[in-house]
Amino acid sequence: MRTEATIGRTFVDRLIEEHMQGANIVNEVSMAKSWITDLSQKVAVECMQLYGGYGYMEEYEIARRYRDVAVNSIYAGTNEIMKVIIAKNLGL
Amino acid sequence: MYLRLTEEQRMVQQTIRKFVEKELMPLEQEVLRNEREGRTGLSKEKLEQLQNKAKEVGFWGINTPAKYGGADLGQLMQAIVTIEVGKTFVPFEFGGFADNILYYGNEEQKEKYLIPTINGDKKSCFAMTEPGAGSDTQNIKMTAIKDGDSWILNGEKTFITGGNEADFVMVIAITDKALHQKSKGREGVTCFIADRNMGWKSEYIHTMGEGGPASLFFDNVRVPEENILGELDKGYNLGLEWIGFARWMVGAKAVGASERLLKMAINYAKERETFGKPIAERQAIQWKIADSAVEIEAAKWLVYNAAFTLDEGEDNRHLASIAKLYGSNIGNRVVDRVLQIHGGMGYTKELPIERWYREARLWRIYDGTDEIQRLIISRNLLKGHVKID
Repeated sequence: MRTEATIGRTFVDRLIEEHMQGANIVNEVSMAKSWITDLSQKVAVECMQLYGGYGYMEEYEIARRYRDVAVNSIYAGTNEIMKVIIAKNLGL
Repeated sequence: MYLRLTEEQRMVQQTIRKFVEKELMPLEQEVLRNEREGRTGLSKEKLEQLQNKAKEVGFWGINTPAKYGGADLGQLMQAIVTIEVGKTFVPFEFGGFADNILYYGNEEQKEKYLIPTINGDKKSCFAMTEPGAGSDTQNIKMTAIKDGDSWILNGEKTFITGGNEADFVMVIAITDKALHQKSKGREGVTCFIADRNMGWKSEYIHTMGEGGPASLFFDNVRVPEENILGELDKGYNLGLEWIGFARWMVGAKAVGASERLLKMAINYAKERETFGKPIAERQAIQWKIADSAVEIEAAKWLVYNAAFTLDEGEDNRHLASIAKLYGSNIGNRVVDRVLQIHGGMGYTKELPIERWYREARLWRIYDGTDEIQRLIISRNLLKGHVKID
């Protein structure tokens, strides 16, 4: 999880820099959006499981986080749409 | 090998399906509204009304021995019924059953606790889990100290299903500390039947799902000697039997919910259009539907097999763990895909999908987590209790 989160962070940092330099990063942004939001769901599931029954209680923040991340793969263009953009830009 | 439901099983399936569609599904919006506004999904009166209707159709005590007024239809039938009822989230169960371990009571206990539970006049719960001990029962701290002809119970239990409503609890406490330590928790614990009016208190636990469990508090609760269930110091075996007996039912519940959710996704995919055609024509959606169908089919047969094996009088615990682990996991994957297919609509509280999304997460935790099921399955194989043919 730590490794994947670091990869995600590195990717986003690079895209911020390129965006500030005015580069066209539509394709890479679509990749980052879908991959990292999927990752956030995967990590939330794993972390919740570590808490056992406590993770399912609203007293622990992890339950709230788990519900929150579910929308990431849907809004701002679903992850399916992100993949359509990536494929189109690859010439498909 | 005959891989078909019998005529009788199909008839029961159809009857239950009709009952669920006619009596329960129309209540879904009301349940969602009640829960959103902080009430229980179904009022007590409404639940009783429904149970009376079910009684008329002949579904009271589906699995309860005929001797106690039940229909005694067996485990496979129970699986079929659980799958059908799982197709709605309306918090309903056919009444007329009792915890398996209550049948171990002596005649007086049966009279006082088992029969009223089957009749629906009393509600029970079972309490083993503590703040620091779940499936690892050797960590239990609750004590029972003998005082004259009764026992004094002290300690705390948590995540007790039905604990808020129960009239009595079957509670596991340490009765012989030295024996408990020496036997690594397998002996020296006893199961007591404790009425609520003996002085234990319960507190509602708010969870991510609806209808949460309870914490139970015992502060010098006096329980008479005759309320020991089973044998003194042998409560561990009762606990194991209670926990393991219906594990696969979680799988059945997940299969029922998944089938309903997949149906919703198929309907929605055909309706919703993007860029000029229904999303059902997009491969990304088609594959989600196909993957879900494959997994549901596999999980359903695992559940049937676990139930069938028990009906045959064989030990089904290995198969029950497999059905529970797989069923609860595919349930989570299916609800995630179905929510995704519905897009933003799926995330709203207008549709029941998000409710299932929250509930499904519990399936991988209660009745033994994924990790405990894997521990059981691998241990059975590594120690040779179960052999690969």
